[in-house]
Amino acid sequence: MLAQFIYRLRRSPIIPALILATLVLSAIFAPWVAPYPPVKVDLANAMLPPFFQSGGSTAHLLGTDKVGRDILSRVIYGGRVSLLLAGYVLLIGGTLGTVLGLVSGYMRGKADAIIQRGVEAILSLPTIMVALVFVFVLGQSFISVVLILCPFIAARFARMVRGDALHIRNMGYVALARVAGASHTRIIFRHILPNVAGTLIVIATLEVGALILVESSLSFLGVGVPPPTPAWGLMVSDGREYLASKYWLTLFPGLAIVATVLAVNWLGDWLRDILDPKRQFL
Amino acid sequence: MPENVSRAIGSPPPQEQLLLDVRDLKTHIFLRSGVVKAVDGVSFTVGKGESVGLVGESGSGKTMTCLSVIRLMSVPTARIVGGETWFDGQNLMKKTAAEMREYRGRRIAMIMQDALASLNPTLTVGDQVGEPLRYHDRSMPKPSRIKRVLDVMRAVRIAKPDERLNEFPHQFSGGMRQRIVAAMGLSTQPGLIIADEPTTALDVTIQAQFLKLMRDLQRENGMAVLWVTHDLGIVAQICDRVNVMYAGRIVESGTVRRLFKQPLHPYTMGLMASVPVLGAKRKRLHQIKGHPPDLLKLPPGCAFYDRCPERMDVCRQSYPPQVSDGSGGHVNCWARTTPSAPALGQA
Repeated sequence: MLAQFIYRLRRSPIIPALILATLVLSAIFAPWVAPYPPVKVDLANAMLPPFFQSGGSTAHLLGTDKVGRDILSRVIYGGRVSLLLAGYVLLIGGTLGTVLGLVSGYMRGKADAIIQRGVEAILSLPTIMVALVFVFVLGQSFISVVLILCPFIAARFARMVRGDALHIRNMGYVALARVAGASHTRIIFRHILPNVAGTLIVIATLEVGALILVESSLSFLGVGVPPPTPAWGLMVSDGREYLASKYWLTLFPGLAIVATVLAVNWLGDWLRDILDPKRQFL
Repeated sequence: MPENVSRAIGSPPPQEQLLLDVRDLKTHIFLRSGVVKAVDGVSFTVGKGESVGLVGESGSGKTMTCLSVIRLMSVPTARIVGGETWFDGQNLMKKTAAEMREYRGRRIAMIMQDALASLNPTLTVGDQVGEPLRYHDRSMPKPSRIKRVLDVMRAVRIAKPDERLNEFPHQFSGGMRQRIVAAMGLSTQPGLIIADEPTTALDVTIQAQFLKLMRDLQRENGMAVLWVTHDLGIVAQICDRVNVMYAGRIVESGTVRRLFKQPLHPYTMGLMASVPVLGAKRKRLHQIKGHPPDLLKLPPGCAFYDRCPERMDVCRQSYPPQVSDGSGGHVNCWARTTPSAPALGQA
């Protein structure tokens, strides 16, 4: 029974789609959805518990933190930071990685060797450690976090896309295009790129989850997006010292991270299955 | 090795009618284990509007020859090491990479083996038929390109081309896909089409339709076709002249009539004998004994020596000279060097 239920959930991912839709929409419309501005300090109402606990009020549904900022509003605004960051990194790093991967897989030879050695070098670096070092060098800001994460994402994209390109370059239509006088650029973008689109969508969704985790980790370590910008990792970090008594400071931003990463990965799995030509349902 | 192999002439078209003239073409593949002489001194001609066959078994260098003509290599370590290819009075070996791209697809089009693999699943059929036009004439406005695409689709007998334009390859049957691939080749109105085993993926009835279509198109447009195949049936149906390739060399060439009536090379004879004849009472088909030679270790003499029923000592020592067949063709065989040789008059 349970297995069947899970199977049905996997086939049409309503739950992750709903979670993500809620997150994205509330992040976009945060100023209208959130009950308070995320940085509004209200010392009189500091450390309020969530509404379902004694002492909590419906004015602050998920309680407040040590300076009285509304947790719910901060979680909503924090989604903005996480999603925006993931979006920028995927856009910049993903594009770069895709182009490198296409060139690498299609051209082979020297270009391939050089690009792939670079990719291996990046993939062998521990993301968090490198990010720590670079934030200290570049200074703590949203942009520097984006810039640091781009090469890592680019490397992952380059590796995956190269694999696909290696396969597609041997297809008959690529040979035919060459024989018909197409230039390399034209073949790469006209014939190979559309055929790796499925892979791109899948890696992108899977990487969104990873990116949000890394961003949260960086914020937790104090080198992410600088305070007082609401970021989930930062909120978890702030609430850590009160973990024993004031659990809501960490629980709700933590839940937001878990829900987002889970939903995105779930959706990614589903997309991978749907877009896999070998697993087509008749 | 005799030096007079430089020119293969089979009922040769007069000089001014020549479209493609391949002279002593050599393409070698350089491997760690040695040099594979995939194309080793191939010469043949194709006249304007003519149908010429290039026949040989797998690995005899047919496809490599064709790709060498348009100077594309399927293997990175392959290189053209000698010879000339003249197309319409121009030496293609002297062209720059950019000039060469202008020839590919625009003046010399190629149709490849597997039609399903030759079409990109992510592009509509209309887009793909128009692709060669876009490679070669970027200034062509979209409406006139679409008009041309519709014209060639109509030419290859695709019904309702204006509706099917926006469909994807998987919505077409195998025979139609092959015709779409042909339409791609035709779209630029090339002077020469190289058809590399275009019918191997098709069943016999569709194959016959496709051959008829190509013959009709050839008559309408006056283009020349080089048919690359291992299927003697196709050659008999549509070619004017044939070149038989074995181990990277052309061993016999001549008109289809002469070749089928009176094959001269023992290898050609073997090929003819292994074609099933309708109604013939024969239990087993003829089989040429042995295997094609290892291209890495070609003997100094005739490459067919090991399998040849008429072999002589001299065959092993030096490559046979070119002997005229008396009607513009030739054969490279020691057994035919003397006019009184027994097999020359034999059907």
